[in-house]
Amino acid sequence: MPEFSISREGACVKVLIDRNLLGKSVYDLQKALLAEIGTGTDSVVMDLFGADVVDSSGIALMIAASNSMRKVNGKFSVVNASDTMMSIFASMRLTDRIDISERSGGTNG
Amino acid sequence: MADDLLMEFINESLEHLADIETDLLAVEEAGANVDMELVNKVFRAAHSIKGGSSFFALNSVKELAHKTETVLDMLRTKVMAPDPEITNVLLAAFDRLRELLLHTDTAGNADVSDLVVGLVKLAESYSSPLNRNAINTTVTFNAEAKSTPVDIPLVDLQRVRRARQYVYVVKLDLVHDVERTGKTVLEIFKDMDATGEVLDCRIDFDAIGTLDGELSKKLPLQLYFATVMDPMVVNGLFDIADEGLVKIFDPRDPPLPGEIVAPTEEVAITEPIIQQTKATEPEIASENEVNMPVEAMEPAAVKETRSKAMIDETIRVNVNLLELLMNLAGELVLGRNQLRTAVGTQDQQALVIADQRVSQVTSELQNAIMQTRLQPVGNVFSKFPRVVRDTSIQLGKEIELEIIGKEVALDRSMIEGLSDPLTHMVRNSVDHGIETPDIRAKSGKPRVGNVRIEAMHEAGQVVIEIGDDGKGIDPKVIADSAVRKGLLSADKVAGMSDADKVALIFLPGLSTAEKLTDISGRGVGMDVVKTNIDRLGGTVEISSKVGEGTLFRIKLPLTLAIIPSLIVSVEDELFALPQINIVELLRIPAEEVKRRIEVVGGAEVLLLRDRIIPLVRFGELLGIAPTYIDPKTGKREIDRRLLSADRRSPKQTIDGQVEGGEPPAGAKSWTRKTDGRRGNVSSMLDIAVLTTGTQEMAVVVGRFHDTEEIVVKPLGVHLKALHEYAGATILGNGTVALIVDVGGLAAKADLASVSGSARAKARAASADLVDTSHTMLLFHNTPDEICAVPLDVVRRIEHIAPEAVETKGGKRTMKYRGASLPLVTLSDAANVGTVPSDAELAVIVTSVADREIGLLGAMPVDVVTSEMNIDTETHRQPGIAGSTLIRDNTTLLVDLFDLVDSVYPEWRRPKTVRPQTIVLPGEGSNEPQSVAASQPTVLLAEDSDFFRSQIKRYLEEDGWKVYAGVDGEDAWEILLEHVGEVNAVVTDIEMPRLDGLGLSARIRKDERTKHLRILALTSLAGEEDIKRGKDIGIDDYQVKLDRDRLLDGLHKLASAGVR
Repeated sequence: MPEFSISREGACVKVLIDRNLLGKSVYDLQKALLAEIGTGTDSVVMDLFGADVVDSSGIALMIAASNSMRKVNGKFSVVNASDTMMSIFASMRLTDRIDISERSGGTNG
Repeated sequence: MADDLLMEFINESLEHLADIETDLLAVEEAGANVDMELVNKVFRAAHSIKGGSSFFALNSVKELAHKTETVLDMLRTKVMAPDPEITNVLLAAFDRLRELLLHTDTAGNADVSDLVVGLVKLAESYSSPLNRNAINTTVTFNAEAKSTPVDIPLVDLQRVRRARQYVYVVKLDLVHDVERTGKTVLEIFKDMDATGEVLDCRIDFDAIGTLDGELSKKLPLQLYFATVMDPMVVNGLFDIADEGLVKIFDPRDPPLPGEIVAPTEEVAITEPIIQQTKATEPEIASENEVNMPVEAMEPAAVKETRSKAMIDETIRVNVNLLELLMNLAGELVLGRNQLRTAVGTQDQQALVIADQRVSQVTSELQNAIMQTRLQPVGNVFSKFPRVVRDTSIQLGKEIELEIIGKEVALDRSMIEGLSDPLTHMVRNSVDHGIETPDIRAKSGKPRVGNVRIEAMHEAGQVVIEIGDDGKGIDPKVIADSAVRKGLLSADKVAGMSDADKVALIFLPGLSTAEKLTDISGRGVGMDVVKTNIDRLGGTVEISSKVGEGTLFRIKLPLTLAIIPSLIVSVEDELFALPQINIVELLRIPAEEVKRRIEVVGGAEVLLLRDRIIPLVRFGELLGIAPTYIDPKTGKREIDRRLLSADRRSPKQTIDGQVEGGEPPAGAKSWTRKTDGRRGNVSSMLDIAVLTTGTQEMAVVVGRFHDTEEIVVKPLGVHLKALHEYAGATILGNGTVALIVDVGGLAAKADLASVSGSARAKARAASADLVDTSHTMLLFHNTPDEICAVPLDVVRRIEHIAPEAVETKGGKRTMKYRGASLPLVTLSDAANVGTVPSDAELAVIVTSVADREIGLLGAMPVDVVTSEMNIDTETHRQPGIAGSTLIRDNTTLLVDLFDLVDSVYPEWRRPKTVRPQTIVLPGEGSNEPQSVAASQPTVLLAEDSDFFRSQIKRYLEEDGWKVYAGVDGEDAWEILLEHVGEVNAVVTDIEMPRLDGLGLSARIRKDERTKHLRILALTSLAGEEDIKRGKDIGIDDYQVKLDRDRLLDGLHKLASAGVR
């Protein structure tokens, strides 16, 4: 069962992560995103509201998505990252590379 | 969102900047005599800010910090000398950096061009035209095809080449190598900066690729790291896989485009270096060796740490911990309120509850505050890779450094205090411990030596071990060195165990290095190491095995502020013994005291299982008057009796033997030692066995109390000179207790011969000289005539009433222990006054010709020990051996044997020596042969004029011909002159130049003299001394000035023939 859902509003693709961003779901999401970006997308927003954990492959996916969008002069952003995720993203300076915003209400995850 | 890592970087950077202004002004003031350490400190601040800002993508900060670094590098290489203009530009740059760091949200692309241009122009104005180009030039490196290229400024590469460093790209995975190891990138920066220089860093996001490729699970962090280390060393040091390290610059490579390598103004920088660099030095030297050849051996990281320690007067505390402290403070207030209410209502149960609450909160508060001060010991350890690497390169050694337990936490002040001693010990291991690869290979060891540093917790203390698998410490070499340098006598050293000899390395002034080196100092280090560790409340032990290695073991309390201690009392006074110094506690029942406490060499020792430990009586040592409860009044009174044995029973001697008979009527009886024992005890003894790390001692205390965690309060200025105390504390019941400094106590008791203090050295030296002084009993003949007898011949002193003296038949006697004791006075033989009839009389009981006899004198009596110049001529007459000045009074030295011979000539000992046939070994064979009868001759070796003249006279009166030498060396020369005449040797033990043991050993080794009988005279007649002497070949021991025993002993030896 997919752990994410993808919706589109014009040239903007929204990815809602339902559970955790790790392992096989990353591979599935990579393929899905690749297909979306190939069809005239200028921005991708990844919503981590439902995610508790992001592993190294999840981080790699975020960077790869960001790199892919840069190549097409598009934009990649992440919203609703938990405190813990924000702390990890900051320590890896992902926050300097990707527009990441924190989950409102400060839910830890 | 709190970006903790960025906050940490900002806080650290602001700390670096805090003293920059002062430092830059000090640099300017020094002008051409620039303080290199200070410039380095400022340079490191700029460098550290540059490194961090590159990671945080604070590009403007990075650019400004880099240009500042360039100018500072020109200052430290003396290309430019500090002046106000330079200082102004630098101050403005640092001000701006501070401002940018306080506003990092806008700092990334802030405009700093004005300052950057100013700094560049300044640098250019001091550069040659050819080199100016380098300031604005960068060299592009590309670690791998997928990566984004990185530009390194050419000036940085010139600096790197000058320092003969390589540049590597160190590739780490931010996820696996950083995040999951619990490290931060800033910590990695610090580790690398301790052994080199991080030129730049970047996260290679591009290396991850895009969605259309296979995703890399690695998030590569690339560090551009300049260092002199080989790739293998870098790999090992930072635990980097081979593929994670790429060398991109080699200082031996041809110059880069636009790079000026040697001539032009660079000559000015490198000329002194070239002069200082020896041909034999390794090809690659560190940057600091280049820039500061004179004190080049100290890595910059070491200096940096030291400088930081000096200025670092603030600590950063985790906010959560602060909140915990706040909560606890609130709890404490609640507890206090509860306590007040309970006191006000006199509610006992509420008091108990309040007490429990306050106790609990106080404990938690103490723990929390302790945590604010604790820092990982790795802060000190981090500099050792550099220290070991630099030192080993310089010495041509191959050394692997193993560091364990970096995370062990210690009080901040301890960490700072440990830095220097640990560095010295690590350097010692590298310099003196580990052998060169060739020597190791010859000994069957791996070519690469191992130095291991480990920190661990052990029984509430922190233990730090520094070990190596080098050549170890040879106790004999250390002992010989100590003797050669006059720090200890050969006699003293001969009685030491190997462990004690090894511990002599802590003596001030001892260095066994055949060649002095710059690495480990000049023989003044290990005593300072011990003193510093003592100061930290710690102990240091050493164990070493020749050929296998050495291990130093340092034990430290977790904090200096609060130390667990055992409270003991002596009389009414309380003392705290730090638990770190306590080995074990003993309670010896009265009936075992005699068996467990012995006297060796005139001092008490405790026999503890298979060990002999010097015993110190705490009260006596500190001069605390003994007291007793008067059974009649119930009051505590001062016990005025002189010796502890007297407190038990007037009938019992110091040996614990019951004397026969009663003291004379009206007599107060003092018993005196007959064999040199100082005291005994009447009841159970509480003994604390303490250690300074190198020296154990047993301390008799009055009573053990509880253990307490005490808060250390420093002693006031007026008490600072009392080295036996480390401080004072207020105990739970409000009383004050002094905290014992065990090292100081050992020194005070003359035990600390291996202490690191100069005080101990002085004491050790004075202990060596003890044999040149005399201990005399003083008494009065008339009020104006002060007399003295050697204390060794005194058995007891009786205080008697005048009517106790009976005169019959011209002879005086007194009743004494059921018999009649003959009495003599000095006036019976010598031309002196008579003891006044109304004087308070003292009878000095001694033994002559196997009979007890009393010397009648007048009170007061006293005992003094001092060096004496004895005049054996001016006052010499029957009964008086000579005179000396004691406390500015001319004092007559009584010759008891001579006096008694005059009064009781019939007691006089018949001559025991007659002309006889002397048996000597046959010439050229070991077979004895007889020679003609002649006067028996004895060689006497004695350095004390007084004893020499006395003993010589005894011997001559007994029929011996005497040759006398003033020390062992003199006696040996005399012996060689009269080798055919001398039949026996009588020698003192402790003498300058050559002592009695040395003389005896020489006699036994020489074919011409080895047959001679040797009798040693000494006050040191403990079993250990006797055994040692007999092992060397001494035939008999006699106590000095016991004429009869000396002559009997000599007669027996003469009768026994040659050996």
